[in-house]
Amino acid sequence: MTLPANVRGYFELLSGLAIGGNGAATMITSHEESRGRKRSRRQPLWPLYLVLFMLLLSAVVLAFVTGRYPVPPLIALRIFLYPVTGGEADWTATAETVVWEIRLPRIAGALLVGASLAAAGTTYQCIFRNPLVSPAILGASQGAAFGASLALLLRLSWSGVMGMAMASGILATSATALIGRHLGSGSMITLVLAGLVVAAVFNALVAVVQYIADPLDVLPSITFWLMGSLNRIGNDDLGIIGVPIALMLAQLYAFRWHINVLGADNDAARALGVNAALVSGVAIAGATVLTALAVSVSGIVGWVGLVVPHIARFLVGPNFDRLLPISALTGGLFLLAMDTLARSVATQELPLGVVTSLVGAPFFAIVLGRARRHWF
Amino acid sequence: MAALVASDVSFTHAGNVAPTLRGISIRAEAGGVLCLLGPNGSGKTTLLRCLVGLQGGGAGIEIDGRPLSSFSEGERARRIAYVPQHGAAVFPYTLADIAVLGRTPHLGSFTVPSPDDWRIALDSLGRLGIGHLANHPFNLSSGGERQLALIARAIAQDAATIVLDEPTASLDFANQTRILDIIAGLATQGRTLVFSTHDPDHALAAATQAVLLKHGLVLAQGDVAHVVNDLTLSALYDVPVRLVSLGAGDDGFGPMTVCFPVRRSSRLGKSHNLREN
Repeated sequence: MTLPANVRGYFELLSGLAIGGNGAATMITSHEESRGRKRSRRQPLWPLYLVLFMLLLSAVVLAFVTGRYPVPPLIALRIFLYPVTGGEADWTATAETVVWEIRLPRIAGALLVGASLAAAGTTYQCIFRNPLVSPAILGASQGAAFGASLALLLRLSWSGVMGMAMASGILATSATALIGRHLGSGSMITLVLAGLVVAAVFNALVAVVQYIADPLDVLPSITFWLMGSLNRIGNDDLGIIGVPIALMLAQLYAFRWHINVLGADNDAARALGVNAALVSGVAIAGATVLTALAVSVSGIVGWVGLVVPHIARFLVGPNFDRLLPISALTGGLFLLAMDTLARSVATQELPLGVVTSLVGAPFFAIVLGRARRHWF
Repeated sequence: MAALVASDVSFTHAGNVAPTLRGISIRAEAGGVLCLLGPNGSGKTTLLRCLVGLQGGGAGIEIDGRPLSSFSEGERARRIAYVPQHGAAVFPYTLADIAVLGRTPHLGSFTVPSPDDWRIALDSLGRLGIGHLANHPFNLSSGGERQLALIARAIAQDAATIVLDEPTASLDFANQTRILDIIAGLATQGRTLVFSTHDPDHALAAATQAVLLKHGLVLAQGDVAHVVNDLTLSALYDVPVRLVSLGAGDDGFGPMTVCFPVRRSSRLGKSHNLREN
């Protein structure tokens, strides 16, 4: 929707020039003139939300009926509604287990992880005013992966894995931000390079963990989890990550306008009444915790946090207040679609991280090609 | 009455040995236009950023008789607006998106601009003659349009004092004049304006008061008519400067004073050309 607005802007520019060659000489136009040109400021978003929700619903239905064990859509729906409606259960116990214990947590997990990564990527891009960054590029994912794999090595509990992932992710993001600031903020590439350095260090640390892990039980689980996968998520995990993810998304949403001000004009934000240090702290911490939560259940699922913010910005423009919810919805939809693809494209399931890379990387190349002239 | 007072403001940038500002004391009268005049590197930008609290933590600055540091971020932004020299948006924000940022200090916590706030932002753009560009991307706009959008943001901010950092820099001839007219126009509406420039003509054209800044020190300050003259300008720029007063013209415009740097080649009595030098 950005595009039509911009195109209209160009037409108005042209018509404005055509109306009066001496238009530039008018210093202060009267109120009446500007009022005559006024139109409703922002296009309503409900049609877009409607489309996204319908796509989401179709993706969820598709995901429920896709898989090795066939469950017809109607049966899946009836199994799903059985606790509410009651009635006769004319399906196998296996079908019930598949719907409730396998597909439901996986679908909900895909939505939560996708929304978290996309929201985190959108926030990072806005706060750092850099369209090239994402949780993975800033090293937050690798940092969280190191913390989580260390916790797995030490056989810590679930909360230990998440806590370590968060602590290590925040450490990595802070390191990237500090190195980026030290190198100077003249170029967008600086922060990307700083993230590269930090990610390399944490990748090496993950390799150390893998090297000393027990090759019989801990190592395979770390390795498979690192590739990015949702197939270990159970209903109990959802409860554990669902609440903090909702809290973090709410926190980012509460600060959406001040984050937008920082994204639009970092330098003058304080002169606009924004507590820049507080807001960037809240935003970066929120995005990093979301990343760590996603990584602790799904490993490193790359590209979602880089590509989805660009799709969302294409749909609703750069203002963070509209971008955040659209980005989170699109991220959930994107990851659910990718996971369903990963489960169904071959006889054996592909790791989710591999699929998102295969789809996301070429997509980002196209995005870069289209937008290059504005960014570099 | 003074709207904005700086008392003995000093500032040294991190990593620098030499201070950028050395004990500056200035005052901007309410409803007046104060011009900071000085060569590049004289500390104009640093002083302006100190005045709005972006640097130096507001030490030594008073707005309406109250210390700047005693205001909350929001209170401060409702009293004093800042127009930076280079607005640069990375993402394709429109001019309206930029202008509505000025409504930020008037918003409740955790809320976004209301339709009324958007109307105020669009009005501000309209008053500067760029209402028709409201949906045009800021980062594809010309330097003059960007400067106007940033001034519109300050107008939407609805602060009594507006501080502008080199608002005429990197603008073409016509747009420079346009911005100076807007500055003078805003002052007639009762606002206090402070702007910096390295061009004495801009002080003569738009300002009521001037502060001449050199190497972080105040060389002279006071009414433009008294302070901006051949002697002070020559000392300020280390170049001989001559002021010329023009009478009222046939074109209906009143008298004005302009200034020229005097080139050595124009000295009389010696036949100057480059080869002799």
